[in-house]
Amino acid sequence: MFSTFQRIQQYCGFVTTVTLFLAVAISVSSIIQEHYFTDIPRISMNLQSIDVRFGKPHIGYNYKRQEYALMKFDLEADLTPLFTWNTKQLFVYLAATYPGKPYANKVVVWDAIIRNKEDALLSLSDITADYSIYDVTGKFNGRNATLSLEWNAQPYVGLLTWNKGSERERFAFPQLTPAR
Amino acid sequence: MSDLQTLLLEGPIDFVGQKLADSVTFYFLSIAGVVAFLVGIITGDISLTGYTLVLFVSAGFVIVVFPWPFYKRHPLKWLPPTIAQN
Repeated sequence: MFSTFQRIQQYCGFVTTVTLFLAVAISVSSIIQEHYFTDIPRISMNLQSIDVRFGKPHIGYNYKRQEYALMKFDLEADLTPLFTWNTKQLFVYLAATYPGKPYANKVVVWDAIIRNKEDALLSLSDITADYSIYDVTGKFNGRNATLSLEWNAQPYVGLLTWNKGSERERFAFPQLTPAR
Repeated sequence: MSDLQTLLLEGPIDFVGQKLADSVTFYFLSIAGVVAFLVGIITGDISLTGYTLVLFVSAGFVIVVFPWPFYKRHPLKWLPPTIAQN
């Protein structure tokens, strides 16, 4: 530490070490806070209507004409317990899972990014889903499906965590509405 | 090079001063980390953690890096010159 430059080196090296320890401490403390000190978020959802049509599911290039489903739903969720001091934002999405061959299908129907604790109180009624559901086979065949609200908590420092609410809304894809 | 330039660019300090500078970096920055963590977890705002850390790190930089007089209290005692014996 004889010269100024050596002292700068030593000092900055220790600053990075301290920053690393601080980052570990912040992420561990926020994981502990999230699991042991917060309540489970309350969710209630209700599928108002689902409409299966035939045509191009998106405006755009190269979509073939097939069955696609549009949904309208209500969603009430209190996601404020998920916001710790380390939460940067919450990516919330409504996903529909239904069986298929060879694997089950999971489609995101609606999503939102929540950046503050104040915005985490969702109260949406009669909104149309952002995205329509269309199957790889092009047909639904009246399969049963489940709707669930899931989220991805994105921290400032630490690991990403995914989780879902326990509320499930079950429905079956209706038959194709006849062309008008 | 002038004395001021030598002072700032080379910044020599004696050995006791170096030990002191080393201790100051370790304890000052460790306390800075702990305080920044506590500030953040008590207020629930992670930006305050960042701000206190930056504050402490800049203050510590000024204390440690510049060759202050308190690092030069124990200058090295050189032996008196000896005349070569033939």
